[in-house]
Order: sequence, then C-alpha cells, then structure tokens
Amino acid sequence: MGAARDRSSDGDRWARRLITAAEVLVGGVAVLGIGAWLTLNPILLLLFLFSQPLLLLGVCLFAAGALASDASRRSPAPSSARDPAWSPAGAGRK
Amino acid sequence: MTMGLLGFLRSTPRFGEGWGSWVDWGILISLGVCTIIVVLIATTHLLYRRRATARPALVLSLVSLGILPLTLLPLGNFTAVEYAKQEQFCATCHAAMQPYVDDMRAPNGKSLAALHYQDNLAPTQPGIQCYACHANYGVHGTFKAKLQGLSDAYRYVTGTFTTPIRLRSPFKNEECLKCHLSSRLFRTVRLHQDMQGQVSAPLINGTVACGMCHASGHLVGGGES
Repeated sequence: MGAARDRSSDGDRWARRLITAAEVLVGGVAVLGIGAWLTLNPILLLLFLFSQPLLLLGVCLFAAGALASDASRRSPAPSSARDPAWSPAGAGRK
Repeated sequence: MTMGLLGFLRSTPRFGEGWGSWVDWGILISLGVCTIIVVLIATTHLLYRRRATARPALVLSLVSLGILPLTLLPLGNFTAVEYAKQEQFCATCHAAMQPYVDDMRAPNGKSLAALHYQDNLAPTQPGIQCYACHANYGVHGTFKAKLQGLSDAYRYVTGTFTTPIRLRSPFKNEECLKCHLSSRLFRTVRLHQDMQGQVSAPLINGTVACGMCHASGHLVGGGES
C-alpha cells in the first residue's frame, strides 16, 4: 500500500519539478522579452533572440510534466491500498 | 544608448510611413504576450501553490507554458530580426556607430553609403539602409554573424571596443552585386566585362574587389573606412 502511494507521489513530485523548471525557463525568457521590447536595447534584444531555445525547452519540460502528472494520476493503486481493514496476517485465512 | 519603445513608436519615418507598420504591431504584441506569460505564471503560483499538478493549474499552465510561448517563438523572433534591420538599431551604439550613420545621412556626402542613402538606391524599403549593404552582419545573417553581433554589443557596453571600427573580413562583392549585377548600367561598363562581353568572373567571385576602384563605403574621421 505504501509502495503504490510512494510511486504515485514520486511521479507527482517529478511532475511538479518539471513544471517548475518550465516556469523558470519560460518566465525568464518572457521577463527578458519585456525588458528588451520596452527599452529596445540591442543587447537585450540579442539576448532575447538567443534565449529562444530555452522557450522551446520550457514548453517540452511542461509537456513532460503534464504527462508525468497524468500518468501518476492514472496509475492504479492495488485493492489493498483501498481497503484500510486489510492486513497481511488476515490475507491467508478463509 | 537606446531610445526605448515609446521613442521608437513616436519616431518617423521608419518605413516611410506613420505608426502602424507590422514591426510596430509585432513589437507591441510580443510585449503583450511576454507580459501575459509572466502574469499567468505568477497567478498560477499564487492560486495553486504546491498544487501545480491540479487540473485547473495545468490548464492555466497550458496557456502560459504551452500556447503563448509557442506563439511568442516565431512572432518574437521575426519581429526582433526585422527591427534589427532598422538603421536606428545600428545607431543605438552611439559612440561606435554614430559617425557612420552621420556619414550615411550627410546631405552632400561623397561616400558610397551617403550616395546610396541620399538617392534611396539601396533598400527595398526605407529605413533599412545599413542592412541593405551589411546583410551578412549583425542580427540578420548567419548564426556566426549573430554571435559576432552579440560580442560587439558586449564590447560596446564594456567600453572595450577600439576605433576606428574595422570589418572582420573584407567587404564582399556579392553585397554590391546583389543589386548591381542585374543593372544595365553596370553591365555596359567595359571594365566590368570579360572578352565575351559578360560580367567578368573575377568580379563575381570576388578576386577583384569592387572597392579597388570605387569610393570608400564610409568616410569617417577624415579618412576612408
């Protein structure tokens, strides 16, 4: 019961990490873009251009995180996990 | 160093027309998309702290981390590259480039840059005269040229550039020939022709540089550049 729950929470934890990483990357590029377009500073504009791959990476990380979250939600828990009254000692009795 | 967005939007002419060119709209829309992305990410964090995988949070994240970045990718790139063609972009590095821009804009200038600018010979649209001849440099051009542009910008900001400004490699004939090769006037000049009356191969392959006979591109600081 504990193992199934751990796997599910592990998957969810990884999903949150991936989504957080995506937020950092995409948010960073967006902030750079705001600075670049407001000031039209050539260095910021060039940096904004060169940071575009990070935008794509962020999108991919979000997609991976969303899929991981979906997978952890779908992973079936064994019936023992749903039955709090179950115990190993009683499993063999008839 | 830079005029900022408001200054750019108020400045005329840029494309020889008032506000409302697609670069203007591209800049504003890119700015708007970036702002919305930041606001949505902040909102998602505030509303769904530690529940980033909850379904409503994922829906918000889909917009801020999926749809909007994929919109920003082509829009921001093309707008930035098109804006970088503007002579104002080149002139933002005032200390280094202003003499060249001034030379180009000089009403009675005798340099090639001035002659092309005053007679509006070079560009397909006004406002991009620098790019018309220096198309292999800076933001627009090869990836290597973009990196060089970034290193030049760094040198400008840190004040480690040297004057006079020098091109990294000799000015290529193809930058001249892309316009002049199809010109009847160019083709009828005897010096440009081979024995068969065609444009001579050394001109086309760059063995003989256009600059060997023609005026300097820029006349800056009393000398040739």
